[in-house]
Amino acid sequence: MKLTNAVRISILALGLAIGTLAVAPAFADSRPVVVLDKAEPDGFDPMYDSSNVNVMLSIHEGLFRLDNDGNVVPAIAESIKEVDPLTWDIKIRPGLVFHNGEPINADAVVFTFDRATKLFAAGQGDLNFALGALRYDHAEKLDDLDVRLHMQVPDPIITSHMVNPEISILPPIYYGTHTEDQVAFAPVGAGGYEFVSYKPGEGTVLKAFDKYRLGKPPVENVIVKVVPDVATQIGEMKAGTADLMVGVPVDLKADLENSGVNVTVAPSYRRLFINLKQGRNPALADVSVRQAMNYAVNCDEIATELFGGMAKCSIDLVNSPNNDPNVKPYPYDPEKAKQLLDAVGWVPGPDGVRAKDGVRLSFDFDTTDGSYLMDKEVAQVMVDYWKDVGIEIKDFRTISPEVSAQMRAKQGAGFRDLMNSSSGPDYTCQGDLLLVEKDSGSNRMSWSDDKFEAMFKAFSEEFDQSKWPAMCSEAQAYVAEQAPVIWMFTEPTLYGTSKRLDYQPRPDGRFYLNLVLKGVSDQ
Amino acid sequence: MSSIEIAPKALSEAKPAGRKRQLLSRLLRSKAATISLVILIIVLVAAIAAPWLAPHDPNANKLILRLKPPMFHNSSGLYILGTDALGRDVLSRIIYGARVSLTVGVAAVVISGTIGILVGLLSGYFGGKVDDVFMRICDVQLSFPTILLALTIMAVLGSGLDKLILVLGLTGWVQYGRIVRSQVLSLKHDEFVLAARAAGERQWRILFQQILPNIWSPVIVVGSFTIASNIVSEASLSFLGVGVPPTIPSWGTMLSDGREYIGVADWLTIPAGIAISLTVLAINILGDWLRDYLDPRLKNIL
Repeated sequence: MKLTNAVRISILALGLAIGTLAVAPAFADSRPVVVLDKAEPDGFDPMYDSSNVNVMLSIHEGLFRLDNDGNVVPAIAESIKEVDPLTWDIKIRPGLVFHNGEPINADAVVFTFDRATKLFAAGQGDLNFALGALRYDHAEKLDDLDVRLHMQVPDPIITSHMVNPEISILPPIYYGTHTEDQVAFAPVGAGGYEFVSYKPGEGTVLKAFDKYRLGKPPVENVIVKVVPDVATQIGEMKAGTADLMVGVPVDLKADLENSGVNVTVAPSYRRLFINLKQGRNPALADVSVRQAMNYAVNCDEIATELFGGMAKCSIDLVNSPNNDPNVKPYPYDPEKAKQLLDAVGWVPGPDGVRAKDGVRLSFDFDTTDGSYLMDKEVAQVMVDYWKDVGIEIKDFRTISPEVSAQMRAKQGAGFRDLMNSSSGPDYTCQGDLLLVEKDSGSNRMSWSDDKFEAMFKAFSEEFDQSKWPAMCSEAQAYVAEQAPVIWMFTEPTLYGTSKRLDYQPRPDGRFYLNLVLKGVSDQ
Repeated sequence: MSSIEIAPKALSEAKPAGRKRQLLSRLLRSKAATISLVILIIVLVAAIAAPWLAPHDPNANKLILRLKPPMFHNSSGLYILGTDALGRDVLSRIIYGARVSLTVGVAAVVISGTIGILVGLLSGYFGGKVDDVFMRICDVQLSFPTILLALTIMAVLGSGLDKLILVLGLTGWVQYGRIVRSQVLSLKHDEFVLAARAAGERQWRILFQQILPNIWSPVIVVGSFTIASNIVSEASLSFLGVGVPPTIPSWGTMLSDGREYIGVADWLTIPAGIAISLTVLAINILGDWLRDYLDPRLKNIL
């Protein structure tokens, strides 16, 4: 049978059309996944900048890490063995390499721990939290894949303390041949994503690392784009120019869904509270004042009205499952608050503000704007609650996410009397209690209590796990009563995702990009 | 020796009462200027009488009433323009916001005007090195965009109404300085100044009693435009989170707070936007009219 030219052309055109359709999904998949973040990074050296933790966790890898369910699992380490309470032997997985091909071995681990020690001793870097938790003395190379870690104190939960991104393992040859600025802005790590480029305003470009220990991540190209303003983030999601947004305002959930964006409400272990900087304002050193401030706040109203019932008020010192349900949050009781203040001599003045010995019960309040869901709004509501019982907020200041991250990293330096803050999950009671421990990098309220310190020391050095629940409960009850902070709630996390993105949220809200980005489909 | 009375050049030969009538009748001849004046009077009354006019406490958070649409009413009253994300009455915040806008607008003009007039007088009258130094300072300041300079300073100092007024006042004096200087340069060789000098008048008396009364016209015109630009600057800085604190109702803060909700609650931003636009437009139209009114070449046209 002979085909006419017209038929030939028609068949060719049909073939081309089918071919185009067949390759179309591959073309769509190759578009980078755009993840929205709120603050520009100061760099990508994990020991210097913990504010952009999500990018850091994707580029770098530590000895241990948290899986999507919050379990501590070995990462670069293959195993860890206790030699004695102050000595641990760590075995490194064989055959691992950094993004630049440098081998991951005992030299890299020893270099990392030595560098952290030197920076911390020199007061450099952002290591207060990580080295406040993991109190090692030094690391010693045993052979190419074995390291011995010598501790300053016994640490029964040592693996939990090794998941912090600040002590991600670093390539010693690369660090030895490049300046601090070069390693900060051209980072080489061992995580699931390789760093490609970073430009302020454009974002951080990442590429899946094909020699990653868990295999190449399913999403090839990712751009982490900084858009500080929530309204602009919403606009990007609606326009389809971004794939993932964290922290969709509760009020805008329906609006975003109507625009074709998936919104997922995920459980979160991020605990919100108001720090009371006791070293700055003597009134806050009085436990009665701190308790009164807790009684004056109607947390349930905030949870119901501002968060649609998705936030859960609690003494949010310790996360589930270690939290003790018998330790109840302070009920909303303004009368009780007034009685407590009356009893310690803070009496209402002519304008309703309480005073004692000529000093007004007046504070400066710093709130973040955009670091947490509705943080500025929550803070403004608190001002009203305290006003009702005669406590004045003299100066109310909003702080950008970038500045607040820098302040938090320095144990709250720069913050004034009151400041809103949060703590992520540690998954261990001992880790969560670091929030209020005297020397911890998490303690930003300068609270120091001898009784608690003794409890914490005993608990943190206790290897008998059967004793932990009772010790945890005792510490929680004591700290709750002492009210070093205004206890608030665990905040819900609302993720906005494009239709094409397969995303698995984590309860700690972190993007280990290789773990949470499950793939992209054609849309 | 007999003393000589030196009469300063009069701004207008007409008596004050007659001048006011003349001003008013000319103003009423311009529809745009009349409407602008009415708008400004409304804003001024709102600012002065806010505690009596506002139907609700502008700072009272009532979470149970959050994001209610315009004309919502319940047992606590009517919310004509609805409520915001913290359940605060939008109309009451608009009314109180007028206070912030006008306070910042006028107070900053007083500061910048005072500095600018002083600099301009000294620079223009004495000339030489004094003039060189002041004008180089002007050049340096002009090389920075005012809003960027204000933004930087506010970011360092932190938010606050007093700081905002100070910053806008300290960054806006240059145009007064340059205009006053040019006026002084054109007046300082006039006969009435020379006569005053010849009569042995002290220099500060010549500056403040002879020259200053004769340069008010351009200063008033610049002042009117600067009030408008200060209102916009306040709104811009508050929108960016470095203006007045969120606890003080201001139109810029309202715009900033409402922008997240523009898709679901446009009543949070539209009234504030209209208030800013109308006020600034009204001041600019009045300033424009005033410039024409004070221009002797256009006196018979208006």
